[in-house]
Parts: sequence; structure tokens; C-alpha cells
Amino acid sequence: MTIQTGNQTRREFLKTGAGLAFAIPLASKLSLAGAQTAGNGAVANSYVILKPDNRITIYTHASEMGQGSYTGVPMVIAEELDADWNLVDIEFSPLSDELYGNPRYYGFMLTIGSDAISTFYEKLRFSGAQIRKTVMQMAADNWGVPIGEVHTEPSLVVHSPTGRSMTYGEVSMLGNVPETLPEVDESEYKQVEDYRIVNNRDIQRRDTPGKVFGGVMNGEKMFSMDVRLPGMLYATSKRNHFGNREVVRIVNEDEVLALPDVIGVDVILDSVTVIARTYEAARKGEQLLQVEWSNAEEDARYNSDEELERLKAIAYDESREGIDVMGHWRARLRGQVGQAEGLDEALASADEVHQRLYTTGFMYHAQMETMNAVVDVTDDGRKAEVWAGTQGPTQTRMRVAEVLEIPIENVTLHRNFMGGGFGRKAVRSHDNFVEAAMLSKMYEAPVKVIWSRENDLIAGHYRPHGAHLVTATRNDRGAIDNFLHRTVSDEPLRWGDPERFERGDSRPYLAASFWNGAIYPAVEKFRGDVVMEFTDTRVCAMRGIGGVATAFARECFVDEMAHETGIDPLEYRRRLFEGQPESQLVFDTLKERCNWDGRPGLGCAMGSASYALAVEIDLDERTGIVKPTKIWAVASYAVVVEPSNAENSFYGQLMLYVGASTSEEITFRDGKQEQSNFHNFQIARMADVPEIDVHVIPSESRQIGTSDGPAYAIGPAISNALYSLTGKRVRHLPVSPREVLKALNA
Amino acid sequence: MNVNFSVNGEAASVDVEPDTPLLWIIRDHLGLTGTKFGCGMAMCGACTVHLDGARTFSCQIQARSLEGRDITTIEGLSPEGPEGDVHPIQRAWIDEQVPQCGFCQPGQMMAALDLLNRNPSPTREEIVVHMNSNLCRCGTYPRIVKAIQAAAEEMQA
Repeated sequence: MTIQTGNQTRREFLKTGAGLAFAIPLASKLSLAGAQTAGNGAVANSYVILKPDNRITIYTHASEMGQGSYTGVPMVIAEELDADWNLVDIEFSPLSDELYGNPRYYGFMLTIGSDAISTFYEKLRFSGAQIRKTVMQMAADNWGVPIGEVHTEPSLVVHSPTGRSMTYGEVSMLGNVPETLPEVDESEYKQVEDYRIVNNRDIQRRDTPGKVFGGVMNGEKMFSMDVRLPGMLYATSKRNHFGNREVVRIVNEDEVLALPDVIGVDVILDSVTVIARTYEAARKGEQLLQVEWSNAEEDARYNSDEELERLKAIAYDESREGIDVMGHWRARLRGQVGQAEGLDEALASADEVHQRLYTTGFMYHAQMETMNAVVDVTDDGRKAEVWAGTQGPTQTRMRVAEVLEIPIENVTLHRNFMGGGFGRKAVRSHDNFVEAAMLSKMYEAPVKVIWSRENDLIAGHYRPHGAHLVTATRNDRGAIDNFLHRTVSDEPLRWGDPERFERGDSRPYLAASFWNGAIYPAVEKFRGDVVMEFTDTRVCAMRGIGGVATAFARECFVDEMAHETGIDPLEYRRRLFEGQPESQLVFDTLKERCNWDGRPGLGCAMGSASYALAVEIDLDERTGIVKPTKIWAVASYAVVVEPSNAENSFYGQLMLYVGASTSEEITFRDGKQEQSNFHNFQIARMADVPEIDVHVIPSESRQIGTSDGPAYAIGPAISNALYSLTGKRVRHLPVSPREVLKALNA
Repeated sequence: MNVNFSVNGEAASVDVEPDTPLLWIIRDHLGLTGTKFGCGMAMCGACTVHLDGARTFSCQIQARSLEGRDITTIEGLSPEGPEGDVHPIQRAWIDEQVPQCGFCQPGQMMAALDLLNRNPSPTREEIVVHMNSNLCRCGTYPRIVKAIQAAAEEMQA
């Protein structure tokens, strides 16, 4: 079914929507909703379609990479719509920035930053409530009764005094759609205690069965890597460790071309592709292929350890001025963070200043499904069909149109599920799609590009490494009152989304996310400065964004201050939240859950004002391997839309960051990555799973995403636990065996 | 070379290079895409299938060693699909809501079934040791353990 979008009137829509008796395009009304909730932007986001057979189709704007909002978004709409969940069908929305664009990201359809539900929450509720009111009005008009006399039950409008009723499907056939959809006031929303769908643990994700049956849903392949087309060719690609390099020479092209089934070796932008009749042939070609790249001599001198030393030196270099990245956000955070004015003076005039330097290493997304794409260019290069697992589907489509030099409307994009994304599949260059599109055009056949794990890692866009210099003072009660956090790092947006980076304006940068990892309210003066140091290592955002790096420095520093003042580290943090009972309750609860008693090997950290966790570790002093044995996490949430899924996601990010904070490392020596696949890039396995205790406290505050909060706290909690066990500090993330051994032997 | 074997109980025959990994034979030549590619070097387990009744990394088995052998893939567990008779392993995976992105799960289920075939009531420790071969970047490990325990009970009943 094709859903028309755009500027057509509702009447036209009814004509074009074949088979639908009643359809409500929400764009204009949602714009109104946006206007009412100032600051959230004014972009429409959803479609609800009521069908005569009483089924309801709800479109989900978000891309699905495992986080579960494919189901969660429609749940929020269905709740306010008072729909019978069993009658709801879910489909990915059509591509339209106008209707589904994310107001936080220049209005593009982008599923990033854990905001698939949270940013859209009020609009989703509004859209459901508005359709419900429309249906009530239509039924009331049909019965000739005032709307005040009708109420709804799941997918049913009921005339309260007489018990007369009509299904939503029946209403959809009445034909008396009002010219303008009714206004809905927030007071008309459902009460949380009346929820049947949202916050119901028994509601299952709709994509589960398809995934359990190998990735097929409604007869379609869920993952683009599984898509097969008649006459399809296969391609692999080989790229340099660094971006901005050109192919100088393909050393053994003839040798590769001589392999059975290999058809071609091509240079596509900064990649060399091998195209073949079978994937195994293309892969063999990739393994055999030797390429000479530009800048090779200089690149061979690149060592990430030395580079990090250079960033550390810049952190201390006062001639390198940082950008106050809090500028834009300070106003929005309304007094929740300390003011910047007078910070430098306060630090300069203080009797005692405390300063520590921390570093964080590169991190690789390691999504299980490597980058891949299927593209079929037809009509002499004038049209293209794309199968894509992407976090930014309209940007992917735009990029394909751009490289094929055809209008966007000639590109049809099928939205696939992703075998993991974590930010990697939001990178604006969409290289995998570019390769498939160009090759399909050149070879006049559908092409599937699959990056090997080695290429996925080598051409990875890592979270950048960086140095964090924290300078602070304490008041007479030992609490931190002035805090300067200076980050030296490359900027993830520079590679992840150069266009957004160039537009810069008042946007915060992603190297350091102070708005994610909240600043303690006790801090009176605060500034987060970023010194951008550009390199040729490809970087972009990764789950948790810059907050993971900044939280590591902050939470280790806070721990150090607690120990110096002789105050218990958990109590120290609690006091920094004085006057904020909801956050203090997080710490009180954590203290109780983990029986916080200062025993060696137990450490804690704050993730944000709503999350804190404690971790207990084991240490093998011979190897330096640190193993978390138990994690207690406490989170304060408003409405948890999908409780079962939120729990799974919470465990998941803890596991991802247990690995990313201990055993995973991306390092370069003599211009080469020292890691190439899962044998030397070791993500958490089942044996690494600690005992996990997650406790959720109901919150009065705003809706937040659950997909990356706890991520911030794991690394510093592990480092703090190591200190409590050994009295030695690792001021580097990951707390890897080599860093631990270095600290133990220092 | 031409090689004959059976997949999910049906005879199969392909003409491929002798060193073609079973993974790509299953996925591309036979069109059974439930088995996934994750690393190509036996480090992630996404490609796990059963070969003559025991689990194996299909990315490591070459065509030249396949003649006459018997392969089971995720598609072979519940031949009638979700609407039919669902295998207890898959039932447990749905009931426990295991998948997040879902990409590694076919491999996880094939590894789990291999465990339960040999050891119908594994301890938690035995589950962890056996399943340590299979990576899940989404970190669904706690639920995988629960699902295996649930499936074990179901299969013994």
C-alpha cells in the first residue's frame, strides 16, 4: 500500500487511498500541537488509519535497530486512541521529513539519541487523542447526541446513557469526517492509571516472531543483508584506516580479476570494491586485494597512544581556547546547571584548586550486522530501488539520488530493520549505499554490498578518543562548587554529519555531552569547554554520545574529591543533589539495594540526575583483567512505555558498556589498527554477564529515553571500584588490562 | 565442484568452488537467509547451524567436506512457520521476548538447541559455558539464559 503524503487535501487523500473508507492525515493538526508545545518544534510525525474491517494501521516514524520503538511508538498512539491493541497493525511510515522529521535534528528523519519516543511523546499522545475525539464526534453526530454523552472502550464508541455502540471500523464508514479535526486539550488525555497498552508488561514487541524465525516478517526480509534479487551481483569493499585518503594504485588488480566469478575491481570514492557473481568470490578478491593509498608514509607514523599524549598536552595548553558548548543548552536547562559567569575568576582566586586529567579511547560500534546495502538501478540509470537498514532513511535516499544524479523521487527506499545500529548507521556519508548504487549503475544489475567484519572495523567511525581536564574548587563543606570541564577531542559530527557540523550555529557539539550527563546542582559555576582537534581518523557518535566520555571524567573526579574530603563517595554525590529529592532518592535506593558499606571492590557513579549505579568487581592482578561481578542500577522514569523491552534494553546497554569499559579497545600502531575482528576486539560474552539488579522508581519529571542513560555510569563505576579495591586509579577508559597493570605497577 | 547433501531433511545440490563456506551456500545458493554472517572467523556464532546433528560455525565448513552430510538451519526448526507447530526453543524465545535487534538470535537458538539435545537440563553454569561462543551486541544474554531454561522444561515435559 502506498500512502500519499504531501499537500493534498483530505478529500483528495480519501480518493487516492484506495480501499480505505476513512483516513486522517495528521500533518496540519500536529503542526498545531507542535505550536502548543513550544520548543518541541512543529513537525508532524504520525498517521493513523482506521479501516472498515475495524483494523487500525499505525505508522511508526522511527527506524528500528533493536531498541523496540517500532512497537513503542504505535503503543503510545493506540493508548490515547483507545484502540484494541489486537486490531492494530504496524508499518514503517513513508519517507517524509515534512511529516516525520525530528525537530531535534534539523527536521530530518533520524533515529538517534534515544529519542524515538521521548521527543515525540506529546505529539504521539495528541495524535491518538485527536483521532479518538474525531471518532467520538462522528458517532455522536450520527446518533444525534451530544459528544458529551459518548465514551470509548477499546476500538468502540459507546453512547453512555443507552449503551448503544459502534466499532471504530463502523464509524470509519459513516462518511461524516469533520472539515477540521477537533482541538484536544491535555486534560482530555487518558489518566495513567487507565492505561491498558502503555506500561503493560504483557505487551510484546511486534518484531519478535519475525526475528525468531530468521528475519522474515509478512513475507518480507527484515534485514537488508538478507534481501535477494534475481540476477543480483555481490560486492565487497576495502577501505583505508583513515578518511580523506585517495587510492594511488591497485597493486594486483589482474590477480583479483583472474579469480573465478570476479567481474570487476573499481574505485568508488575512497573505497576499492570487488564485484562478483557470488559473495564468496568477492570476499576472496577483497582478501587478495592490495591497495596503495595516499599519505601512506605519514600515516605509518600514527600511533594512538602518542596521539592521546598530544591531546593531553593541548588540554594543558592555555593558548588553545575551548568553545563553551553549554551556550545553547544552558537556557533550556533553566537553572539546573551552574552559571558560567565568573568561573575563571573563581578558579583563579581560590586558595586551593583541584585538577585531574582523564583520557578516553576510541570506541567501535560493533553492530552485529555489518554495513551492507542492496540497490537496483533501473531505467538506464534514471531510477533506483534501495533496501536499507538506516537510522536516517531520508538522508540515505538523498545520498543515493545525489551520487546517481537523479531526482529524489526516483529513488524508492525500503526501510529494513537493522541488525544493530548504535549510531553507526546514522553516518551521513552512507558509503555502503553509495558503493551499491554506483556499482548497480555501472554493471546494470542489482548489487548487494556486504562489508566484511574487517572492513566494517577498519572503516569504522569510532567515538573519538579524547583528553578531559577537570579543574574545580570545593566549598567549606567539601562539596564541589566551581567546575571547569575541558575536553580535547575530534568532533563526531564532523564525520558523522558534516552538514550539521557546518551549520553549527547554536548547536552543542557531540564530543562532550554535558546535557546528557547532568551537572550536579550543587555546582554553582560550571563550564564545559571543547577544544576541537581535527584528525583523519573517522569518528561519529556512538550509543551514549559524548556523555560516556564526559561522565567518565566527571564521575572519577567526583570520586577522587569524595575520598580526599573523607566523605563516603555515594553520600558525597547525594549531597551534590541537595534540594532535588527525586535524584537523592535514586542514591538512597541504590545504597539500600547494594548494601553500600564501603567494602573493597564496590564503586558507584551517577549517570544523570535520573540514573545511578554501583558495581562490584573482581580483579586478576596477574593479567589486569577487571570483571564486574554484580551491578545494581537505579533509574527514575516517568512512564515506561514498554516495561519488558525497557528491562531488556537496560540489561543490554549495561552489557555493551561492560565490554566497552573493560575488554574492548581500538588502538593504532604504526598507522595500523591493532584490532581487526572479534578475536582481538572482544565484546562482552555471556560469561561476562554479572548479576544485575535493576530498580525503577516512578518519576514526576519529563519523559526520557531508556536506551542510553545507564551507559554513562558503567566505566567510571568500574574505575572507582578498582580504586576501592586497590587504592590505585585508572584515569583512562576503557579500564583495560594494560591500563590496570600500568596503574598497579605505578 | 558439485556437492550433494541434505538441508532440513531435503536433498540439496550446488555447484560451487570447493572452498566456498557453507554459510554462503545456505544463504545465497539455497536462499535460506535465516543463518547470519557476523565475522567469518568462528568468533561470533551468528552463522551457527547443525551439521550431522551437532552445532558448527557454518562460515568454517567448506563445500569440499559437505558431500552426503546432513544440515539443519533455523528454517528447519518449525517447518510450518509461526502459524504452525512452533519449536519449543522458538516458543521460549518469543515468550521470554529475547531479541532486540535479533540478528544474532538464529545462531543463539541453534547453539541452544545443540546444548539441550546433549544435556536436557543444563545448569546455569553449563548454559554459560556452552553459549559463550555466541555474541550478542545488544546484550540479551540474561534473557537467553531464561529462554533456554524455559525451553529445557518444555522439552522435558
